[in-house]
Amino acid sequence: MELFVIRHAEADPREAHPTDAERPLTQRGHKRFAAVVKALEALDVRFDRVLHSPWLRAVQTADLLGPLIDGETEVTALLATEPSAALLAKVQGARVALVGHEPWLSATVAWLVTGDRALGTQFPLDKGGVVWLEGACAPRTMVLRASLPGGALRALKRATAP
Amino acid sequence: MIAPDRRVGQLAHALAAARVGDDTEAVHKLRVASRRLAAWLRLGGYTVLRDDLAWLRAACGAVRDLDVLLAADDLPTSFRSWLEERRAALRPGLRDVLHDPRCDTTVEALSRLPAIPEDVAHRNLVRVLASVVRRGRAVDAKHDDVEALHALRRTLRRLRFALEWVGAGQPFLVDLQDAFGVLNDTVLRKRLLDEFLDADPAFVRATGRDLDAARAAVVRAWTKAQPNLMELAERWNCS
Repeated sequence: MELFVIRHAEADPREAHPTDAERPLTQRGHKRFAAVVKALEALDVRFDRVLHSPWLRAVQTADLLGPLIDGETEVTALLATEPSAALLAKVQGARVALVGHEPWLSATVAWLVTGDRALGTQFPLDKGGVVWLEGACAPRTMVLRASLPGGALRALKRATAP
Repeated sequence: MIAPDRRVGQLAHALAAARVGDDTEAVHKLRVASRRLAAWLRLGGYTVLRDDLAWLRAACGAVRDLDVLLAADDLPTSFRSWLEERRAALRPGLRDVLHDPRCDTTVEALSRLPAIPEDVAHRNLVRVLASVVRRGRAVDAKHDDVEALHALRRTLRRLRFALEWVGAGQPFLVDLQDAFGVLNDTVLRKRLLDEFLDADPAFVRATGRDLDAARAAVVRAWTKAQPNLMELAERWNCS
């Protein structure tokens, strides 16, 4: 399978909202991630399943992936906490996207590629960034195909724009 | 701005009630609350969370449809027992869904979504209205096409809820939905009778007649509703 691990786009600062879960995307985050989606589209990326965290900024980021989704979306609290076997069990499909938060996404990538969740700091994701993995979704089984920072994807979008 | 707060509260309340025992009314309320919120998501142009609500509705719907059939007092005893067994077999699956963390996570995520700006809601409402007009034409072309009637019923329901969200609810849509509801229940009864091996021939014939009558009633109701619908399309600038 191909797994796309996607960090939410830029959101409001923590102080502006009662809880971390309620932070919405900023206008700039919205616009920048829309460009990321265009770039993924140019790379022929499609998803037959999208799992996303229930926190507002992840919900809004997953929603922007709409044009790339052929299958179902599912909200799961397992993406708003440390990566777990229960989360990996949910990852089923041929091309799946996970939309969530740091540091848990980096830990997920590290776990799937090296078998060690503690190595997450070696696989950082910036806001709106995408890590592209391939293989069976199990620890130390997936291969890193690409790590695409949001900025690189936006540059790609600009380069491919008609 | 159109906020979902009150309906999210209803969904959470119905979910809590449905989890306690076998409250058929709570399951019905849960299904309706879920449909209303799906219509709200559509008005906001959201892709996410609609599948989560649909997953919940599918589990409720399977049991709720049998509740509705079993409420009829003219069912032959053997068919009633078979339906009751079927419903009992579905209940554990519904219980599992109701207690799945995905339900609470869906409510949680819905509760955080910001209100929808009215211009966005209006633009998406016009899309729903256009879909009704399109599906209505398919029914006009072939009145006895059950699939076309079913598709029209679903879009009419979306339109009804969408209009309610923008404060422009239409009683004629409720009446129309009632007629479609009777047809849907009769289609379901017929389908289940086809599966039931020991069906009473007289009851099968009566169901066939009920089905013809329900279909004719829907076509009449649809024809009667069309001027209201055209007026609505004009008011919302939808051709």
